[in-house]
Amino acid sequence: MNLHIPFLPSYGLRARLDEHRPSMVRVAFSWCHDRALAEDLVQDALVKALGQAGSLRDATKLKAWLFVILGNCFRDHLRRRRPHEDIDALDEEVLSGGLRPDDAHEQAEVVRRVRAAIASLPLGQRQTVTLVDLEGFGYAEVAGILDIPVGTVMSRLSRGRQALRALLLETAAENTEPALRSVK
Amino acid sequence: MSLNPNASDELKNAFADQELAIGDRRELQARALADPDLRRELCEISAIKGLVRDAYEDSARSGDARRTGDRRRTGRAAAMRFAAVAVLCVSTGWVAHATWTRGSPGEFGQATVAASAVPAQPDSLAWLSRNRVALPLAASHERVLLHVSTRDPEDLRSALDAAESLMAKASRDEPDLQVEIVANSAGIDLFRAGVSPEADRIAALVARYPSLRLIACQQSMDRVRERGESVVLLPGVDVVPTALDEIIARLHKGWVYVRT
Repeated sequence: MNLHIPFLPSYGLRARLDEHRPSMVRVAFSWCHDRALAEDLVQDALVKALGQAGSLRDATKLKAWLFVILGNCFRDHLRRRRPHEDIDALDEEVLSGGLRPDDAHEQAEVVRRVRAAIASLPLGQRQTVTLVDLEGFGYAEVAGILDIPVGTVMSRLSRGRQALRALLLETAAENTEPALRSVK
Repeated sequence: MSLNPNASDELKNAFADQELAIGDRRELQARALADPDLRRELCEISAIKGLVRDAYEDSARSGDARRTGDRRRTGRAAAMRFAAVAVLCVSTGWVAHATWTRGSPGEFGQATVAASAVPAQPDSLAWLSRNRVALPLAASHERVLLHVSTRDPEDLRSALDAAESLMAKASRDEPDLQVEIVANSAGIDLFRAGVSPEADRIAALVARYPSLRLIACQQSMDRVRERGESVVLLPGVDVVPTALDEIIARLHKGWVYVRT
């Protein structure tokens, strides 16, 4: 999908923002598991980034800054949809809608299981794990993006990966039976 | 800083994420070499990181434009890692599994030496932390499987560099060394006549090292043909039904697995 941005303060900036779009969509999708929603969130975030470009003081921190905006857009989205409901509970509802049976048939079973495991994590752990593992952000960067202490980043990673380990390695153990075959 | 004798889960994760200070990192590496349970835990964290990456590998594409083939490829990549994880973390003999970065032939040569000396050399684990490699501790290190799954010219060169380095070493010091290059997904281009950017080099390698085995994935070839392209392989390239089965079979036989 191409960006349709009404106001372009700088073509160079737009090009640089566009370079980060695939990463942002990937992470947004890992948060909500709804492809259309992920695309919309990234579109919103990039438009906001263009409007707030003057607030970015260190160009080397462009990517982390974009993910701060993306995180804010995601939280805004959750609040907008059900302002009186608990955000984490609502988030799980969004997730359950993202992993449809049809998708499960189309996608590889393993991918489905991993995504389902990620989706089962509480929002904070899910965001932390995906920012570190999908985009390679450092702990300090994740702390800045999610506006939490580094210690919280570490504890969320630890708890999140423990949960993934329980879910995924048990699955892996079930699939260990080798299918050895002779080579032509 | 001296680490607590019982390294916390946070520290183990920080090790896997390369967030530890160098002193702490070395201390934990040394401890891991003496502690199979710690090695297994570090291995599992690294494996989980890989599974998460693979599960979202192609999720940045538009849903409408995303083809079934793409989904299959992602699924296959994740399935391979899943299989590797199963072998890696369920069995007791595995020592490490981490992220591969492109390396020079010299670096790969060092890796081979390090792999043979894992129990005695703390630095070997440091190398492993920078490289995607799975080593069966108890098995022979005379068999190495190089896996190519992208068409990135640097990846292709890297795989050939590694193979050449290993074969040169074999001709000097380890006559029993067996090396295979398995290509699947987009990596199949490495072995396609008229497509491979390394055809001449591959021909020279095959002529010089007859024991070097080159293997193409039939399933990946079929997918290319489904797009209406013909697939003709370079001379000397064998075909297996699926790269996944080949990799799993080799892992179970104790081969060292390296993905470029």
